[in-house]
Amino acid sequence: MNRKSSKKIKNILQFMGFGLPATLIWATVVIIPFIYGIWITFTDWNGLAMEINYVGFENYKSVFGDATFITAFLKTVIYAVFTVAASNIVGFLLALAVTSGIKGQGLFRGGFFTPNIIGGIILGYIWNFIFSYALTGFGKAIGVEWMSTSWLTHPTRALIALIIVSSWQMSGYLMVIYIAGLTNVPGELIEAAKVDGATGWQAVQKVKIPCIKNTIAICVFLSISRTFMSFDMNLSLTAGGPYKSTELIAYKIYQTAFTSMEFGKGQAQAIVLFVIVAVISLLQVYFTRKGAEN
Amino acid sequence: MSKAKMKKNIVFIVTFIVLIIFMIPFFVLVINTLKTTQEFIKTPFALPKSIYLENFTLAIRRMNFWKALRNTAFITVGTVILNTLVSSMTGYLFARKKWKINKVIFMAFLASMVAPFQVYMIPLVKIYAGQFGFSNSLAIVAYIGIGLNIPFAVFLYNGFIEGIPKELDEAALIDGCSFTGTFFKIILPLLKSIIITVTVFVAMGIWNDYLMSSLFLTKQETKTLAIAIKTFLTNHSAEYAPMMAGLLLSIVPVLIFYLIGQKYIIEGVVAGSVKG
Amino acid sequence: MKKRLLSVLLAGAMTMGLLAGCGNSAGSGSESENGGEAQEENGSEENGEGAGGAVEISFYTTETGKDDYFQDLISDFESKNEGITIEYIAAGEDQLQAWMALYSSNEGPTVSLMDPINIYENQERMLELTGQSLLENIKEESLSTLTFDGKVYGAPMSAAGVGILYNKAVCDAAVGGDFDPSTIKTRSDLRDLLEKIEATGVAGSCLTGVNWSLGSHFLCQIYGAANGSTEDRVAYVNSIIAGESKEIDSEVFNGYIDTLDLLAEYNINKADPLVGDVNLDAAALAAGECGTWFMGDWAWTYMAALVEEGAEFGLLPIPYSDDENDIINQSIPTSYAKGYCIDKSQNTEAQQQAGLKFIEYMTSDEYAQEQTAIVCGQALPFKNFTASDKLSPLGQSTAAYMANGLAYDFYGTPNLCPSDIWYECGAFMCEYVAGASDRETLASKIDEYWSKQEAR
Repeated sequence: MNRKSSKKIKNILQFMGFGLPATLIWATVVIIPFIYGIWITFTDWNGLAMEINYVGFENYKSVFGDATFITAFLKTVIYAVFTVAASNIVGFLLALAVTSGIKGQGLFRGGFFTPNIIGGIILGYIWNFIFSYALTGFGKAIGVEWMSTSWLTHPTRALIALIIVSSWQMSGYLMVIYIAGLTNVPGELIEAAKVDGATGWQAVQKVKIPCIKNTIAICVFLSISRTFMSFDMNLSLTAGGPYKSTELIAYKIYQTAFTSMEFGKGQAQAIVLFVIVAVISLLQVYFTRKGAEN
Repeated sequence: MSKAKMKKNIVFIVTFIVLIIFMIPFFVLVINTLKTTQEFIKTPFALPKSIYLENFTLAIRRMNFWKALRNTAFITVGTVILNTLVSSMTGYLFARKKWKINKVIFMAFLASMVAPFQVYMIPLVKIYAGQFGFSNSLAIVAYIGIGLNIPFAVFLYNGFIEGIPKELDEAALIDGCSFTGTFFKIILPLLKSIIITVTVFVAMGIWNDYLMSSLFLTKQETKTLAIAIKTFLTNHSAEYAPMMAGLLLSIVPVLIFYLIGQKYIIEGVVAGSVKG
Repeated sequence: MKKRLLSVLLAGAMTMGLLAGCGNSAGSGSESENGGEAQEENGSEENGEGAGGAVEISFYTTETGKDDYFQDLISDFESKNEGITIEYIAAGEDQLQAWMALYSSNEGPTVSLMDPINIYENQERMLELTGQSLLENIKEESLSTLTFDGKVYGAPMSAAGVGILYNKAVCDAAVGGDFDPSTIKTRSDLRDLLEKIEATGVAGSCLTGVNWSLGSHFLCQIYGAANGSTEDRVAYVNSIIAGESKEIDSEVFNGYIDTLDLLAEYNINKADPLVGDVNLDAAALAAGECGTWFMGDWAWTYMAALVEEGAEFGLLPIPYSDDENDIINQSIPTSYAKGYCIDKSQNTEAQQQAGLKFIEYMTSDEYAQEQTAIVCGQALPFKNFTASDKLSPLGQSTAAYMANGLAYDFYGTPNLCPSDIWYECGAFMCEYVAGASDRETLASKIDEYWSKQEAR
């Protein structure tokens, strides 16, 4: 009995030393305010009013009756699927290229990362200019009709533009994580594969990819959650336009809460979105980790 | 030229072309910091007609640049150091001890990563600034920054530590190393590249953070760089040229930090000091 | 070795914590007795009174790009009012959300410069200004959007004129002589002018295809003085809300959309109307690439650096019919888009009084008025204002309309149009101008928007 309880004490101490600090800090910064935020969705508070009244599930009822919420969500799904695919593929290929021993690695790593550190309205304005004037100038010069007007003034093309710019930004971000994963692949395994006669690409397929399954799981999770919650890019590139046709769900929710001052409704929408995305992401992590364990 | 060498050259050329395309917006940013706003609006892609440095002096003055830089650096260093410490330790615990409570907390961390910030940002302000009076406190912004980045950091640390074979832990245990000792002696040295990676992401996130910081830092003297740059916004537009100059000045430290980190990772790979 | 690194890190972290405690000079860790999410009392935290009657107040502005101007006036005010110090809180990206955060921090600004609709929606927090001496210097008609139920809650910052900006040189060339803006009394007159401009090889007009211009400035005219008095306007809006009438049946609606069609026909941006860049459109008007531009007199800030010495610009009214006897066709709507208000929910009496002094300064002090005229360029609705020559050319044009009684208050009441109409209906207007929808669709979408609003 002594050994059992001393082991338990040891476990508790280990948890307190290694796990408790982070959990506590996180709980005070995220969980408590979040619960408070959920409580607000059951009230009629508009963010500024001096009085708060309890209204039950009214805010949530209005969410499901709102057709524009569903449209925006579906649009976000389309956007997410393409962006996640593109940014992961490009990010992985870039990481592969950059860690393959070519010259000028530092320059490449730096250069591919720069999209990530420019943000906000400056990035939006620059890309806006590219789509509105640079590409159109090019289109007019070579006489292609659909390239002669701004991509951002037509709903479908604007969504494509959003996907392109988001993938461009996120692939640099994912590249860095893929690099960390690839540099951890044991060198001997690759050597062994080469000795067995594998070509470069086969070495990638059979050795590198399996070894970075964890990294892939991480990157897919991060890209799914970031694309569903995509706000900054949406705001700076299209601001939901043209005529609200590229209003992704996070942007729409923000507008509902803060511009239309339907604070409770906006927050309820945010909670619903959260539940949906959390379920998707957690399932994804669960299954990829199960796969990695095998 | 051998086939392998030709392959390498092709990879280099293709990667270089992709690099140029990737960096076009960055080039646009840099060349336009040397133009006046009017020139930028008229010809955003042309090289500057003459070098106009006033954008930088204007940015430094209007943004109260050095003060903002100090504020931002203080918050970032504080957040990064403490976050790395607590998150790496938690990642180790979760990776090595598959207790139920660890799994539960881990899933909760992941779920909170997709929690929309707008749901809890006003409560955050109400609690820390309204109730406790911490408005305009750089330390509280750092504390919140730590908390907000814990799930991401733990997620990455956990993932990478799981990739380190348990045999190493067992070997250390046989050699008489405790759980804690194994962490510092065996695991940490192997995490170098991932520590650098996570650190860069967390640092960049906090350095560029606007939304959370602006909730607390409302006075002129507590502003960070990301907040200070908003001084160039105008009615429906912005003073683009000085804004870009200010932006360039603000991102240079992050870029340098990233490049040093990557250099370290590369050298680590070359020297074989990363897990072999 | 690693343990040493750890202890170094911990020591560093602790030092950081200590420095944080004593490092921040003003405002960290101030004690606040206010708990309560629901009701707040008059708090005095760091914005409290010091010894000897010194008062600290805060001023929050939603006017972006004017930090130098405000800070200059604040220090001038402080030098003229011993004992009052003002903390300047600049506008950021999202103005309303920042205001929300300030109130949630128990730091509601003493004086805020906000849109009238925001003041209206939060009047429970605001000090009533009716009867205060500072109002005596303010022209009565400019107070209508800041008066709720007969009580005044704010003082306007400036009077903005909305209209069709014109480049005089281009119009002179078009009419072959000296262009007289007062000759434009009907839509047909306007069409005539635009055709003549086109004949000289220059685009007749310009529309900036953005939601705030089309959805707020253009669209809201439909609920404006063309309907009659303030009561008439409210009645019309309420009838749409109740579903008793439809926009498509309204003469006023169709009249203004006809004018919009006219402007769109000669729009320099016709090929791609929604690109929407005020800087480029301002440059086009300044350079004479188009003859007119639907915008407001604030556009001078975009144009100032680009116009040549001696070039003349002004405002034309926006006609909605062909009735040359309808005075509305010759008047421009003036918008009192921003007002100063005083918070009483989180500020002490002394702070409120100091705030009143600040508003009085901003609206009546000669230096303040002069700076406002130069920086904002817009007409000022203050009785003792004499420096009209300091206004921008567009501001002077607005001031002239006002002086001749040819200006009308855009809304007439503070909450005629909901605060998100520019975002929601602006999208419908953009869709229409881009040719992606027709007039019936536009009208029914606007009807639908109104049907979800509360009666005014």
